[in-house]
Amino acid sequence: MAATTGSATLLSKQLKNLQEDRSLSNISAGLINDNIYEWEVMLMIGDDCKFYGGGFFKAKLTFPTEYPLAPPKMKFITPIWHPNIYTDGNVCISILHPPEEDKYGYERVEERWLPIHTPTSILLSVMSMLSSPNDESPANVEAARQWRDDPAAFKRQVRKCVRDSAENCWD
Amino acid sequence: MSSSAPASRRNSAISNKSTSTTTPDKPTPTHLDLRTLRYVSPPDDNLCCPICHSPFLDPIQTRCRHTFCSDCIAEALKNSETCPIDRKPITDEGLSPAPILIANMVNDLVVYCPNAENGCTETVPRHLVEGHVRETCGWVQVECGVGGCKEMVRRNETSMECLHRLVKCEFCLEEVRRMDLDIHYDTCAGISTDCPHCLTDYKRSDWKSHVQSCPEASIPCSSSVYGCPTILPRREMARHESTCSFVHLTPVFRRHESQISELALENRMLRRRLDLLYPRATQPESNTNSEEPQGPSVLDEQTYHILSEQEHLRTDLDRLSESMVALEMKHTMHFINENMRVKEEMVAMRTAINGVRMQMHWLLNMRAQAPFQPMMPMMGMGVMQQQAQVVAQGGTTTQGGETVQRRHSEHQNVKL
Ligand SMILES: [Zn+2]
Ligand SMILES: [Zn+2]
Ligand SMILES: [Zn+2]
Ligand SMILES: [Zn+2]
Ligand SMILES: [Zn+2]
Ligand SMILES: [Zn+2]
Ligand SMILES: [Zn+2]
Repeated sequence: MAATTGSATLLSKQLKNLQEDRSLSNISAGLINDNIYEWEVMLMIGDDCKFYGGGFFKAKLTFPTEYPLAPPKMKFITPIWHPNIYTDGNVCISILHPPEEDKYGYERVEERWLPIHTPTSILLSVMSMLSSPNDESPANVEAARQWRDDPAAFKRQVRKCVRDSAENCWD
Repeated sequence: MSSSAPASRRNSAISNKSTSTTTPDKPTPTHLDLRTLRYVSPPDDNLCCPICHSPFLDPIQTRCRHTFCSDCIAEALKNSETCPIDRKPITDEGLSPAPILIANMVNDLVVYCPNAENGCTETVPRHLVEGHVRETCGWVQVECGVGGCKEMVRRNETSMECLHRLVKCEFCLEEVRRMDLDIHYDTCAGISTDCPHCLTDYKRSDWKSHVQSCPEASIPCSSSVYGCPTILPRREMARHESTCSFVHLTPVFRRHESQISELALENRMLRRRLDLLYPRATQPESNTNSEEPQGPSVLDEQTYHILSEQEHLRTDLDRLSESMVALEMKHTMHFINENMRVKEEMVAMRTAINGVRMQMHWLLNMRAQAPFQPMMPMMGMGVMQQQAQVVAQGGTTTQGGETVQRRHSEHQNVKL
């Protein structure tokens, strides 16, 4: 019980920080159904980001009650074509993997989850992942192959996602 | 700051903690989650635990010289026996209390009383907040205790008398709890109150009816529905309304309103009649209109047929009677024309017949006057001669003519 209220207190504080931080104006965040453990975030990608610039990507962060000792899960709601994002939207990034879980094998322990990470640091990592995919751990094999072998087709596919996301972002 | 003060503070914090842990089963109102405290000024990041992001609670240092709350690092080590910052391996033995300077700095941070939302305005250093809540905060619920009363009451409301006993309101004679009496007075119907508009005393129960007629109460102009924005005390409203152009125009507005509603009604009736006459055109609409069931619309169709049939017949009839009249006229004209022609012809024939008769008479006369003259040779010559003779014998034939005519009339009587 103490752990639950502790994580809830921490999360509400971190949500407030995220909402009030002017340097993070390209990220907006809110709760789903007033549940402090479920956040909906909107990433507004700047034009400096290769391929994904101009996109409005909505994603859901699901925090465990053990947070911050255990990492949250992140899933894109907006369809997005990226080597490190599964086609169902789940994000595969080492910062969200607990260190003891070794099912990927190729991730260095230094890059894994730490209790000192925050939603802000997670979202910033994800946004940097968008501009520089990691093809060592592809979650979307087809996207990874295209990104490596046929950049023009990859770009077309991504630009379509970006256009669609901008059209549907206020739905 | 004296050197002894930090130590005593730390001791008091520890003793607070020990007292609250020795009585865990009693849900005392002093039980307090220090993580939920609100700090008067935003705490320095260097004094915040990297795991819970709050000022350290009971700070602990690792062998790798990182500082955490004791609870935070204990939980983190259950998960993974590494430092949450640099992943260096740590065991419980590697933990030690953080420097006393850090502990004192976080303990001196000023926090709001946890009952601030209920009304306590106290701010105290964090290490004193538990004592404040337990001992002095007036907004903590405590047992009443007077005469063995077990009800809870706010500490700053405790007194020598129990606030839970029932007392009689002296104005309305209703029974209320002593502690609720003040709230009751706000709504008690028996208490007289000043009308906020005219400042006259009224019983609260009478005031509601008074305010409907209070001369000082502000009311909107009676023509506010037609757009007058004026709001004045009731006693001045009559003066305003005597000059308000909205009021003057109100009869016009009313008449227009009633006319519009009449026209709307009429329009509705006309539309219904139109629907009756042309059901086909409005069929889809009347189908969506659930008010009208199927039956009447079939009837409407039949009525429509009959009506249109009748209309056709009537026009046919009109056309027929019109052409009848025309025909009659034509016939009459024709008849008259024909008649006249016949009459003229008859007159002409009569004249012709008379001419012929005259000639015949003349011829008969001629035969009677000259019976020996041969008639046979050259009729034309003979006639010419006869005529010439008549002309020549002008005066002498008068006597003879009379006899001829006499004879002629005898002949006529015989022949005609
Ligand atoms: Zn460390
Ligand atoms: Zn902590
Ligand atoms: Zn207080
Ligand atoms: Zn009592
Ligand atoms: Zn009363
Ligand atoms: Zn009044
Ligand atoms: Zn007026």
